[in-house]
Amino acid sequence: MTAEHPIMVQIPHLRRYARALTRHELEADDLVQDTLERALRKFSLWQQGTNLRAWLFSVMHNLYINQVRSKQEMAPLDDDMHIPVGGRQEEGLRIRDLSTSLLALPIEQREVLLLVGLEDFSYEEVAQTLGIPIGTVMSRLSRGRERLRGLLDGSTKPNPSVAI
Amino acid sequence: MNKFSITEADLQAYVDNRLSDARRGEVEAYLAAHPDDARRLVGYFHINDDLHDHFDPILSEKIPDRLLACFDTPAESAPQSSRISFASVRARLRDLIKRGGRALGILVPASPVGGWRPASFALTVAWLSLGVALGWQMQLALPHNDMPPMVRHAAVAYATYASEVAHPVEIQASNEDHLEAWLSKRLGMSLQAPKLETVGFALMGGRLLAGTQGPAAQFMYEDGVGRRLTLYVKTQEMGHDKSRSFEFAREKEVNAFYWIEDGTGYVLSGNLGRADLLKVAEAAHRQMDSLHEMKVNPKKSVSGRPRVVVI
Repeated sequence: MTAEHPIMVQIPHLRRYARALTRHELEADDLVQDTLERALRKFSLWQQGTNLRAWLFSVMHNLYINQVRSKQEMAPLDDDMHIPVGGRQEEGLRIRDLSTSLLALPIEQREVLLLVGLEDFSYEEVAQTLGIPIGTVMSRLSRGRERLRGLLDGSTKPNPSVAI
Repeated sequence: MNKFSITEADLQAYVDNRLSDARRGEVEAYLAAHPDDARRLVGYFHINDDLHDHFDPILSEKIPDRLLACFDTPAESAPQSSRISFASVRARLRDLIKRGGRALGILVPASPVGGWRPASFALTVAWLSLGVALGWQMQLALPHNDMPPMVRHAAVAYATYASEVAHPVEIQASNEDHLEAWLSKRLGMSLQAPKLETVGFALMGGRLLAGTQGPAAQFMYEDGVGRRLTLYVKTQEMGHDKSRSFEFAREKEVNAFYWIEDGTGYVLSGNLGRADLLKVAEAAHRQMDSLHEMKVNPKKSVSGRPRVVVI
């Protein structure tokens, strides 16, 4: 049997996360492909015995943030930034769809919410993956969940896109 | 109890089942007195479930060729072994528990996102007990000592499928050749279900178990009074000794004997007493071992009685 590369078994999880992050299948798989290519090139930088999954998601996080930044012409990336919800954002439209509502969250909150709620990362792993303190993980998680809950039950309207 | 020391981080950790039993009890007492927070957390539980309902199907999609093609020209070779992270074990377990829980009716199924409201405090309480139930289940996932992760995976898979009435196995024993050929192909090793009739157990069939660290096979057996056992087999049981002699483990009501032979891990799990289970485990071990010896070293004699180590 040909030994599978240890990264290979993570592909389904990378795809799931990327899809939730970007919503579009092609865009998500592009991101996974970029991640795999980079991770394979840089595999020697991963220290054996440390968490491979956190490392891979960290590679994906950095690629994704760079992509978003370049699309936004270096707009500052902070918790107040929102990305557009495509062409579906008619005025007064109540967005109930989960994946659409996710996109209405600031990227930072969306990442934390997905890593914890979907990928079952521990809070420490999220902090490690995103390179942020654990207190920031907790506050983003709390704000992200509350905002998503509001979006899903219709009590919160998605903010108009800011500076995009 | 210090009700006022409950923080927002505690509430989030409650949703994610990351609290100790003691702390969970304190949070529940707090929630009982703070219905607004309880309602809010119900919404968060719902979000977690909904995320899985929404995106988990992607896990079983066929991986696009272009992604697999990234591995065709490896820049660097894969390492000989990699540690299995607790988080990935937990992720596997969560998938298993979720699937198994549904079959057993443990988990509350998803309800539509839009317009969902907690109808009453009773419903809130139901959701909170779900958290407790999940918390209990997740104890299975807590790491302790140096037990290989496969043991817990196997024990949870046993608990999930051995109690299954409608579909305990994916492929029936009546189709044993196909079962063995299929599992052999998926595991990348020649695999035969041991014959355990001499110790009172007949093969029911088997299934493939999904895991983020590669597939595993599960054979299920039943005796005359309906007691069930599973033999779990997984290749490339990494991060541990290449071979490991017979050891005993206990997870809640599930007893297990496990061993590792040249990187292939075996776990025999069941609700049997230890002595009874040992008899079956020895029979299974003997057969797997002799098969293995024949393949690897036809001249070498089969090794002796396995050492039993209590952990």
